[in-house]
Amino acid sequence: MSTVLKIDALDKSYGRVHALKQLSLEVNAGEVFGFLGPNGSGKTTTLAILLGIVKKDRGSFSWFGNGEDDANRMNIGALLETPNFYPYLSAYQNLKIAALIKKMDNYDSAINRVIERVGLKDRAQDKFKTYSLGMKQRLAIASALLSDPDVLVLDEPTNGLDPQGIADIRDLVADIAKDGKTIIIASHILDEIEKICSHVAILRHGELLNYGSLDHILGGKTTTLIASENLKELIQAVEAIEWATMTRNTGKELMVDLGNDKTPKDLNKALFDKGIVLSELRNDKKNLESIFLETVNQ
Amino acid sequence: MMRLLKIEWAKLAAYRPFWILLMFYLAAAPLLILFVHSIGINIFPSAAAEIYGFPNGWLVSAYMSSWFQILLGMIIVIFATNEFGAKTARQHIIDGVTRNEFFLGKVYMIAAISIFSTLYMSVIAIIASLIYTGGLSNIGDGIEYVPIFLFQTFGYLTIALLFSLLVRSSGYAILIFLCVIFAEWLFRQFVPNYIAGFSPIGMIARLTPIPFMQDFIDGISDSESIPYPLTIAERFTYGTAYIAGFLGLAYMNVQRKDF
Repeated sequence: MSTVLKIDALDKSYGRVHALKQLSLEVNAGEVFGFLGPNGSGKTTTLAILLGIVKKDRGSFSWFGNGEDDANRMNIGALLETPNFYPYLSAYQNLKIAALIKKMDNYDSAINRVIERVGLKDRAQDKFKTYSLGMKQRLAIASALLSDPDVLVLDEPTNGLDPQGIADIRDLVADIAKDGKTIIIASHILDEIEKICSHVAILRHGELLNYGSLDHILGGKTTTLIASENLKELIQAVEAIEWATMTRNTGKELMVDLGNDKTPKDLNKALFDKGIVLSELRNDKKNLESIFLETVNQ
Repeated sequence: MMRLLKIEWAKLAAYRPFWILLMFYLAAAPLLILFVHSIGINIFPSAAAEIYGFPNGWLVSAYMSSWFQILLGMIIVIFATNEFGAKTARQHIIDGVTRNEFFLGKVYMIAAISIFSTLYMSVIAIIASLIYTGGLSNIGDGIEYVPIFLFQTFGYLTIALLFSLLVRSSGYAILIFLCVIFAEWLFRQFVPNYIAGFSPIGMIARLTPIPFMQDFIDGISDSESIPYPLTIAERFTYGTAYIAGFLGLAYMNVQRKDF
């Protein structure tokens, strides 16, 4: 599998803020790569450097094995933070400008193709300023797809959207991924990332905490979910057990990681000895959200 | 070059403030000529042919048109800063425009507007001559003011572009653009002419001197007491250095700053 992107010790500071610390990773062709991290973790800074709009301080990166050449971006479609178009131009006119930038000769059919794909055919001649946020995001994805690039970079593509808008974008991205394109996506919505990504990288304060395939990250790990009538007492009891660590409190149940050689049966017994009767006890596969929270809270 | 010009034109063609300011610009110089003529003709009934006929026609038209180059400067400021306000400049970089191309696109645009403005100034000079003298005799005389006007317009727009790229906000850029023009004018009032003559905007502005003043200037022996101590050729040379400096600063800004 060929390497599409190689990042080596990338470093960036904004004044005193060290936004990116020696970031190194690789993305291979065909991967759907999720960039995860809380606000200020360095996701957007990384993508902005990779897309040429922010200057790095140190380190290097290489797209398609061609180094940092500006021409690489001709083969990348990207949406960074917000959709950026001319408000007084229609979707078609905005995409025409994007096509001229991409040096496309016969752009008319390409524009109609992507506009149809993102479901904006009926509004193609309307001005961008009349669009809803969801439509603006879809137009940005249409623009990213315009030249049929090998790589798509999407930074928070579902930001500010309602549940239906989020579902629409998720389906669209999943659909694009089926075409075999490499997709790099940064998002807060871990459920969405887990549904569509094959690989993830977790960042915090500009540092790479974990990265690899989703299967590797999740690693078949399990967690134990417990509940009782008095959740406050339950929390105190769990905290008193040396080999049990509470990783999450949903308000109705607790997610607990058990030490080596310990089973849910051991936990039930230990809690019963402390006078707690569990109303629920089950083992669940860990999801990306719990792994993410564990990682960034370490 | 054509690709970059096509991109700039695709953005500009549907931009309403561009057309409004352009309409003002297109109307302003002919209206000024009509206004000056309507006043002057009552005082000097036989002067129209002298003023608007060639060789003076070129300088008269260039000088009057130069008053309104500030409108073209505002077009550049509003248009260029909007690219940052709407973040379309950053999107262009993301889409594959290089920083060099982004800069060149803007330079080509101001060059195209300067050429258009010069052609328009020339048409005004020819029409004014036809109307007020009934012909185009001596049309070749004084025609050097056509390339001088082109150079002058390009110089003004370069300054507008520099402020747009430095400030990146249309309100502030226009304010600073106007403040700098005023501050430099003020500066020229308080320093000796041999220093004032080297101020960048004044240097470019005086490429098209007030018509009919040259005889008056030539008649004065002490060049220190007059506002035009430099020849046109000298102004052209120093002006070129200033424009190169402004473009260099603008280029460095585009290369170094984040989008």
